[in-house]
Amino acid sequence: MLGALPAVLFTAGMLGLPLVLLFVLGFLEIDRGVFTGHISMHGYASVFTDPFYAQVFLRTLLIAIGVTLLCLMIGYPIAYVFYRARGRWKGAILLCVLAPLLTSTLVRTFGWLVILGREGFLNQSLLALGLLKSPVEFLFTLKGVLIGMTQVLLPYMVLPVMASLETISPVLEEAAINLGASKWQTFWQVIIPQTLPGIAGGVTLVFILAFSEFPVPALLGGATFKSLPVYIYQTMATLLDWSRGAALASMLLIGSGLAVYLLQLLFKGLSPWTRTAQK
Amino acid sequence: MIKRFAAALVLFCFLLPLVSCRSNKAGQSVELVVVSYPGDAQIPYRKFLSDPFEKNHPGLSVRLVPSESEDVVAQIKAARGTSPYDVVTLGVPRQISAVDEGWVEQTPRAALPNLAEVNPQFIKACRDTGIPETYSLIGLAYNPDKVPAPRTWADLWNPAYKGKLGMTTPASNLGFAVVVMTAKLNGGSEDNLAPAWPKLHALGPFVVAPSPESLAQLFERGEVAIAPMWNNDAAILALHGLKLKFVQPEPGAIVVVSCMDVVKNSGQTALAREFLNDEISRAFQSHLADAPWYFGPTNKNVSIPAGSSAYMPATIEDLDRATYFDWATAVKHRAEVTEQFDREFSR
Repeated sequence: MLGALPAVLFTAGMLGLPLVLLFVLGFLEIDRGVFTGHISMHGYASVFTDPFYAQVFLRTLLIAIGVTLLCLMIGYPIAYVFYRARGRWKGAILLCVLAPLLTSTLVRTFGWLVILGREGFLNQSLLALGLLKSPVEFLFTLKGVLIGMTQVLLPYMVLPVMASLETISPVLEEAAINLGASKWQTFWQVIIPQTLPGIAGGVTLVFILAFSEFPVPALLGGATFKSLPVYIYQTMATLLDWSRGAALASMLLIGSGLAVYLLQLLFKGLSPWTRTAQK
Repeated sequence: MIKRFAAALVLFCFLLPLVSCRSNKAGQSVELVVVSYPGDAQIPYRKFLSDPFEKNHPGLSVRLVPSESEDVVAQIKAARGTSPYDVVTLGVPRQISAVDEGWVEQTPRAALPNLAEVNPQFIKACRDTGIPETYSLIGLAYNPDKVPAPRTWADLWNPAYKGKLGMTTPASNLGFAVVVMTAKLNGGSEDNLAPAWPKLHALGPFVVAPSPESLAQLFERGEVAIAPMWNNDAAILALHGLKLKFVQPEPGAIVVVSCMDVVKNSGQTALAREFLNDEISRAFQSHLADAPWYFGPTNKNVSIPAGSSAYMPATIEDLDRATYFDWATAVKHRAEVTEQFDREFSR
């Protein structure tokens, strides 16, 4: 027990202390980046009484939910194809899933800037195929941000689901089919419940990352994209209103924590379904 | 285990200052950190100023850091007296705040003999603290293949530019100047920027770039065809083959003087002052004014190069006819303007 003390102290110091400082910073009166020596509620009051920030928070939450659902809808089939694949196909799929993680988010987002532009690859291809009459605005819109964030965060959904699919015993599936279940019933009542822990892990990871994502909305959404992390940056770096920035960051942190707690409750509620399926 | 951890921690605490220090003791290397421009605009500073300065001071290394002025200000303030920079380059609107907030030194005039050659109106613009290193112009850049040439600032509202306009937020001096110009064109002043808002809304929809430099990418990708832009950026982009022309719109392009200041409590104050003095030397200012950079020379003995009329006023009389703002008044509203812009144009 005592042997773990250094690790506990290290984690508390490196993770806990900055978070405590962040909360405290919201209570300090800071004038254009200089602490005046006074305690003030200005930071928290301006954030929690201004309906504009509530709008920004809600929008950021909805974007995170949207990206999580998109990742689940695209990621689950990819993981399932991986589960069904055999031989070198399995390796190829795994490589495709992992490849984006080998480059930074920034590089991938710059790639999307080129693809999604008015004269970018996507618009030019759709125009050439006659599917569009004029270019669609992807960049600096919600559409572009959703596309970019989904691509960037997809591996975080696929990998946990892949891992949980790999733990399913093939015997269970064979038993279900032998007992007269259709392929759809087997998938819905045997496979899905077995992969619920993987889905829970993927959903939680993607949601947290999407909720606090900065580079993708800042680059693909433009300088005035309404998202909480973008506003935190602007408040801290441009307006130098550190107490308000700290209050906004606290809002983001509390929101993330609360959302993770609610997700845990949701998946806990679904666990009887998993147990029934396992019986 | 705990003892080992404690020993490692102590060792780390001792080693950290040794690794991060910028020593100036004899025989050891010294580093002067200078905030400069990003991209190609940094080339003349490296080639004609910092490289020769290093040669004249064996053991010295000059690090030019490309940075946005708002990031620099945030970092210096966060450092609270131990600035990561020794010398900063700030446009007048930012420099006014820096002087008011007291984090740049009032460099003694005796340490700057070359200041005698500098145009007094520019010295005054930099509030007699550091040096006026250059001046730049804000005009309109446009793609001649896509939109007609603008002639005046009011032409920005020409329906032909609808949906093709690029802007920057007032967090940058460029974006802030456009807000002030819009207010002044519509009955406002540096102290009354309210008339700008309805007119800016009438300009929409426009793309907001996070920084003046990122406007170049927007032109390159065809996202915008016209935008307010610095003359130096436009000249460099045109040199790189981008289809771009620069106009100094009527009633005049906006002149913004850039100041170079020594940060208070810099460990290299003497070297920093010397660096400032070299910056305003006739030799270096001639390079800055030359193609393709076209930085306005503040040294009165440097003539504006022939063939620069597309990017700079041809004579000092033309320069006098350009647009100057009362920045000291306008900057009082900067924070609220930046915030209002973010709110009104967020999407």
